[in-house]
Parts: sequence; structure tokens; C-alpha cells
Amino acid sequence: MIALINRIVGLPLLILLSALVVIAFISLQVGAMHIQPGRLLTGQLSDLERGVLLNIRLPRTIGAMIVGAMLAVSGAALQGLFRNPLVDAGIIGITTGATFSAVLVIAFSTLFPVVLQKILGYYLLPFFAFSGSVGVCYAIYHFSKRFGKTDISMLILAGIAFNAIFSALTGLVIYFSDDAAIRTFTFWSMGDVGGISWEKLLFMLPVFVLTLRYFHRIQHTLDVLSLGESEAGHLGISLKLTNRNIIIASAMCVGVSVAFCGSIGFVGLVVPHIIRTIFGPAHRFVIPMSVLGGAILLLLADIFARTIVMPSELPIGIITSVIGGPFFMYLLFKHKRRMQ
Amino acid sequence: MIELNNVSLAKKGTPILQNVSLRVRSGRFTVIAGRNGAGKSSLLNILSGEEKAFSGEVTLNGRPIQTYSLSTLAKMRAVLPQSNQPGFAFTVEQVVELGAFPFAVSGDIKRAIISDILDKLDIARMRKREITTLSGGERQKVHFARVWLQAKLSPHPCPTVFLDEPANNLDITCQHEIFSLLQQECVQNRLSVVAIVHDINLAARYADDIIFLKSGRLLRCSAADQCLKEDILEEALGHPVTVLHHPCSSCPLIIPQSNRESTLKRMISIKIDAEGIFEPELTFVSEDSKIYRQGRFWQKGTF
Repeated sequence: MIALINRIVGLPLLILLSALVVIAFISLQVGAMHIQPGRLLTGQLSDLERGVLLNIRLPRTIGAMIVGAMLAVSGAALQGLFRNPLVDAGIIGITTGATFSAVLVIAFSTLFPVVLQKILGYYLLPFFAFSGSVGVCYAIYHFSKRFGKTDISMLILAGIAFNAIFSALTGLVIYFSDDAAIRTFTFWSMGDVGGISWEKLLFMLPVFVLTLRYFHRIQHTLDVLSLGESEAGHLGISLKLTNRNIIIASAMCVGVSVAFCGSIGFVGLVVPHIIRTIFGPAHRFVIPMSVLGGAILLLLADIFARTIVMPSELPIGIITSVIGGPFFMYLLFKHKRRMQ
Repeated sequence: MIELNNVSLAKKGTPILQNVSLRVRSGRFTVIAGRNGAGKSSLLNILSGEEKAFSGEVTLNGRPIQTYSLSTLAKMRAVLPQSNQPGFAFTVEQVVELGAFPFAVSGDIKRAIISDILDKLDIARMRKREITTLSGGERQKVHFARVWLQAKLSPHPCPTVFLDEPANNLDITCQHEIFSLLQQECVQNRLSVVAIVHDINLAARYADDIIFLKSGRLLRCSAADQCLKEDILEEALGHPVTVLHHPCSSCPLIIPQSNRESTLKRMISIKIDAEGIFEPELTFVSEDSKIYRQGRFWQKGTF
């Protein structure tokens, strides 16, 4: 059955796409203020409902989809680069690196005039978060490589070290900062897609399109990379360039997500793994399916986050971690069994 | 044709190769042999264009090899490194298909060639299996199939295949299957093969040319029949050997000996010189003083 689905690439893509549309539709209705589906379809909304829909629900839904897609696809690409399914931006410290840079720039932005702060918030923040994630990603890459192979224990240990260092530094900056812009520690450690506005979307969208085009282009390259570094070189891939580009593109995805939604863990780990289990490891499936799968997962998590304790909201990262944590343990056990 | 002129290579101050000058001819089956640590893999990496940190001059078809881009090289030569497990559970077919990565070929042509290769290597039945579930030997065959696909699709008039110990993990049948396929391709399709081979009899059976390396220096690079001599082999492999005529084919048969056998053989040679009865290379004396002639027990006794 799976083999048959595999042959018709279009069908599963179509199924996921329709699922995404349905879930997005549900996401537009539910929350502290429920909008009737009939009214939503016919467009007969009250002014308040229209306001909630256009200014809150719609950007939030689109934003959650984009962030989910970016996290999942960058997870898939990083796993391809490190040749290991255990890699996730959160686990190996890339997210905390980005978080630290973001918190730092907000803390220091209070030194500037208010107008400049606004500009810094939208433009410099993602840029700094991106530099933080690129820095950690490069460091991790060099730490974990031994004789052209990824040493998984080095990777996880370096990840623990980076996570510890950057979480502590982030906590320190937040502790000494009284700026409202930093809001709460929860935002940076657990994530929140509630704050996504049209302005932020305007910034996220080009990054999303750009990185998506790049990841789509390198699907086959990622397949070849999983053979090993020298094999990839023999097949004509310039490793230095490809590795650098994958790191930059993934770091852009993670950086932008962190800058606007805080750190949302495990999406990049869980989604590509589920896709691989169903469709096999070929990246021409993994990349497009991860985009849709990530969007679906984060949107579902967001729907849960705002309905479970209504009218209040749970941080979205709690939902993804509740799913992702046990899943990561399961992967570790599976990895251990394979090693034996 | 690949030409090395006074090539040296050092890693972290340790010399790996020193002043190697040789020529690898197109359309020939060239074997690189020598002891562990003699610099065989490094030489293969230099020849295949992977290792660039050497001094001296390496030219591929008259042009310095460093001036070729990786993608151009990928269209001219394929490389089989020592076995490596892929990061994900790709199927056999998917792994083989990666050999077509450097080329823009239509799916139908690709599939037809892949089927042909899988049939020839007798792995068609496992095409849907995950590579992680295969044995070492089966995996080696799959990677060989990938490399072969790359060489097959090459638009170059005489593509080269570089193989680092291709016989690893393979049983005798598979070894001969793969080596005779390669030899056939050399003759029919002007494929050049450069392979590191430890089994000297396998090399003797299939190689046109042999490169012997010793401690990073070139010991000999010539046609196989000229260098498969006892003295050269003993120096290259660091072990006494006896070279016999193969009973079924024209290639030499090389038998490694223990040091004791080697002394006994010398004793026999001396005796024979005096009496002129036995052909020396066909007579052995085992440790319990049994005398063997032409591989069979002859009589007990000593010389």
C-alpha cells in the first residue's frame, strides 16, 4: 500500500494539503472568541469578529503554518547535513543560540530612541537571531565531525553544552533587564505564535519563500550527502559550498522563527522522522512533505494551546515538547538498538 | 591518461608519498598493491582528484588535475571508497540511482541501465530492500553498482573507475564476478580501472598493469607479467612468495610462504642444482618432513 502511494507522489501531497486547509479553517474559528463556520464562509461577520479574524486569527494562522513549515524543513535539511535523524535545532543548541542573540539585541535596544527600537525589533532582531543560530550551527558542525563522519555522541554532548551556556546567558540578560520588550522568560523558552502580526509576516514570508526554493533545489544533493562526504565529493558536490549554504538557510529559518515566536522545540525532529517512516528517506519526499507536515503540526499545536485552558493560552512549546520529548527518547532507544 | 610527476604528499609533517612518478594508461586495468600504510589509498585519492594537497605535478589528459571542477571530474570518473553506511535507510535501488546524480538523463534510460546493472551483479532481487539490512558483502555490491552506473553514464570516451579494495567482504564468486565484469568493460568499452587490491592472485589474474608501493615510494609500475616476479613481490609485500604457473590459465600463481618454507625451498633449490632431478618450484617439504610434488604428497624424507 505504502509502496503504491509512494509511486503516486501527488496523492499524499494532495491529502496533506487538504488536511492543512481544513485545519487552517478550524484555526480561524476557534479561540477565546468562537466564530461560527457558516458565518466565516459567507462572510457575514460582526465588526468585532471581522477585527479578530483579520488582525489576530489570520496572521496567527498563516504565521503558525510558516513557522511550522520552516522549523520542519530546516530540521530535515540539518538531519541530511549531519547524516543523522537525531538532529534538531533545539537539541543541538541552535535555537538557544538564536534566543540569546535575540534577547541581547532587545536588551540593548533600550539604549536607542523609541522609533529606532521599533525598526530594530523588526529588522535587526531576526538578523541577530539568525547570526546566533549560524554561529552555533557552524561550531556544532565542526565539533561533531571526525574524519568526515558525524560523531553522534559529540554532537549531542556539544548540544547539551551549548544549550546550557546559552540558556544561562539568556536567563542572565532577562534577569538584569527590566524592559517590557523582553516580556517573559516563557516566551523565549516555550514559544508563542500569538504575537504574529501582518508586519512580522511581511518579514517572514520572503525568508520562507527564499529558503523553501533553496531546499527544493537541493533535494537530490541531500540524498547524495547522506552517502558520506567523500562520496558526495566524488559525485561532483562542492562540500564546502553546500554545507555552508545548508547551514545558512537552516539558520535563517530557525533564526526568524525564534525572533518572532520564541523557541518552539521538537518540530524539526518529529516531522521529518514521521515523513521518513511513511515515505522513505528520499529527500524529494521528505522536503515537500516536511513543509506541509510542519505546518499541520504547529497549527494543531496552536489550536490545542488556545483551546485547552480557554480563555487563557498555554505556551505552544509545551504542546510540541510533550509530543517531541517522548518521541526523541523513542528515537534514541531505536538508535541504541541499531548500534547493538 | 593520468600522469604523476615527482609527486609527494605529507600529512601533519609525516611523509605519506615521496617523489612518485608514474603513468596510468587509459583502457587498462591497473592495480595498486603494497603493504598496509604504503600509501595506496593516498595515491588513489591523488589519482582520482580528491586529494589536492600534494606537491609535484598531476595531469589528467594533459591538463593539471587541480584545474578540473568537481562536477567535470564526476562526469569523467567514478570512485568507490571503502564501505560506508549511509545515514538513512535508503533502498538498494535508491542508492544505486545516486550514481546518476552528475548527469541529466531521462528516467527511462536510467531505469533501464540500473536494471541491467542489478541483473549483472545478481542483486536485482533485493532492489527494494533497505541498505541498512544488508550484509557487508551485499552492501559492497550495491555501492559498486552505484559507481558502475556513474561510469556507464559518463559521456567521456574513456571514463575511469577508482576502487579502494573492491574485494572487501566479498566471497570468491562475487570477487571474480566483479573483476571479470571490470576486465570486460576495459576491453570492450575502453573503461580504465584503478583498484587497490590486497589479494595478489586476484591482481595477477585480472591486472594489465601493477603499481607496487613501498613505504610511500614507488617500487615498480609496469605491465603485470613483468613485475610478478618473486624478488619484486618479496620486496613489495615484505613476505617470501613462490611464483608458480597457474595450472589452468596463463597467469602466474603466487603462493605466500612461512619463513620456514622459504628456507626449505632454498635447500631444495640447492639440492636440485646438484642433482638436476626436480623442478624446484613444484616441490615442497612440509614441517613433518613430507615431500610434496605438484601439490601432492610424494614421499617422506628430507633433502
